[in-house]
Formats: sequence, C-alpha cells, structure tokens
Amino acid sequence: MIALSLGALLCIGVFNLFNTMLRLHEKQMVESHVQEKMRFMAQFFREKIAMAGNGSCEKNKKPPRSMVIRKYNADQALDKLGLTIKPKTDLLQLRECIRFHDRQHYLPIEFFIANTYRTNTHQKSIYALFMKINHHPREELMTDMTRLRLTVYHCTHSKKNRGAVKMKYTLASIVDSRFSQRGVLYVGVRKVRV
Amino acid sequence: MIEVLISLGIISLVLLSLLIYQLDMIKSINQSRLETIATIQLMNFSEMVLMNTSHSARNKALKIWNKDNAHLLPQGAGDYHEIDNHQCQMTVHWFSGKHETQSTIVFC
Repeated sequence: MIALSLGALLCIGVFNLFNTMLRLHEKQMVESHVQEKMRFMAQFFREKIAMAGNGSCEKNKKPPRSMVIRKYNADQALDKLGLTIKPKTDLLQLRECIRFHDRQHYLPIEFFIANTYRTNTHQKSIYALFMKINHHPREELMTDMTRLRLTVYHCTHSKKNRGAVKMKYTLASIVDSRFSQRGVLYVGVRKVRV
Repeated sequence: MIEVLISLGIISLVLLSLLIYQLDMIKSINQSRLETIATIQLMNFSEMVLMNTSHSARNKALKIWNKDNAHLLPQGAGDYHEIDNHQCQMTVHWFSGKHETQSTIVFC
C-alpha cells in the first residue's frame, strides 16, 4: 500500500516535470523565433532603407525626382493609397530599384501592418507585416507584428541633404499571447532627398 | 514493487536534470536576446552618428538613443567617444543578473 501511494506520488511528480519541460520548450521556441524576426527586421530594412532612391536601373530615363521615403498614418494610407492598415500604425513607402518580373524596375514599395483575417487559438485576429510593390497584391512578410511607428528625419549635413528613418515596432507570438518584444531600428538613407 | 519505485526515482532524476538543463537554456536564450538588442542598438547609433555630423546633433542623438536603451534593455545605457580621427568607440551596457557590456569601433 505504501509502495503504491509512493509510486502514485512519483508518477504525479514525473508528469508535472514533463509538463513543465514542455512549457519551457514552448517558451524557448517563442524567444528564439522573436530573435530571428528581430535579426530579419534589422537586416532587411537596413538594406531597403539605405538603398531608397536608387534609380540606377532606369538608365534611359531622367533621375527620379519624387520623394523617395514617405510615411503615412492609417487615415492617410486609406485616403491616398486605398490601403486599410492597422489603426495607430504607420505605413512606410520607399522608391527604389527592385527585381520584379525578372527585371529591375524603379517602383514604390509599401510596408505596413494589416489584418491577416486569420485568428489564433484565443480567437484574436493575427496581424502581420505586409509588403506591397506598386499596384500588385500585398505579400505577407512577417506574421505577428503588432505595431509599427515611424519617424522620418531630415539630417543636417555639410554637403548632402541626407535623411533617416526610425522604426519602432512590436513583435508578438501566436503561441504565447502574453509575449511581446519591442524593437527600434534607425537607418540612414544613402541616396537623395526624403 | 521496489523495482518500480527505483525506476520511477531514476526517471524523475533524469527528468529533473533535463529540467535544469532547459532552465539554463532559457537563461542563455534570454541573454542572447539582450545581446541581439544591444548589437542592433549599436548599429542604430553608428547610423545616427554618421547622419548627424555636428557635435550638438550627436549629443541630441545620444540622448534619444539612451532613451531607447533604457526601454529595450534592463538598466540599459550607452556612450560614445572619439578615439582617433574619424573613429568612434560606442558602448552599451545593461544588467541581467550581472553587468554586461558590448562595444564597437566604427567610422564616424
């Protein structure tokens, strides 16, 4: 009888240990995914923003004179671009040479957070970072990004009129709804005016 | 019955050691997350210094950067100084159990 009860107690303990290990593993996965996303954000946007205004692919045309970086809030995005983005977030529009349909084109690219129309296990909407090239359908770039705020700077420089963009973002997780990670990215524009 | 008890004891010991290992992993993942943030922050500031060439603009940028450091890292703060002609050393430090520091030397 004693052995049975001791055995039952040990079994409960082992079961609890196993459950805790599963939860820890889940947490590890969430943390590592978020880190991966942060690194991706840093690498991807550093390259994109730095090259904004690069119209080198348009060899036979005059150099582009339109603004290369623009920021729109949710209302402006709907009015001027016809895009529904998450309220209280910003849309980033860049113009640069991008490979599209097997050729380099100087096109506007928009980055914004919008509803994916999918829901998580708690029946909450999943938001994602989308990329949209010119008038083509949006592409999901990164799932579970919940906030994107932008500041566009005009930096004083002795010879060139330089600009910079500061992005403040929040990453979430489908697996753990309580988890969120804030991040900041500051990138200087290497090309013309903003 | 005693054999079952012993085997259960061994299993629980193994699982306990695995649990400790996973806790260690969580700690190191958290550490690595903070290091990633610190690296990104250093890259951000190197861009800020490149974009803002005047002394006053750089001091303003440093204040903004330190505000972000305090938000993103536990007790996070940073500083920079010119070590040579057009070479700046940037340092960011934070506290997570112990004082951690990360620094870089960039063209400025």
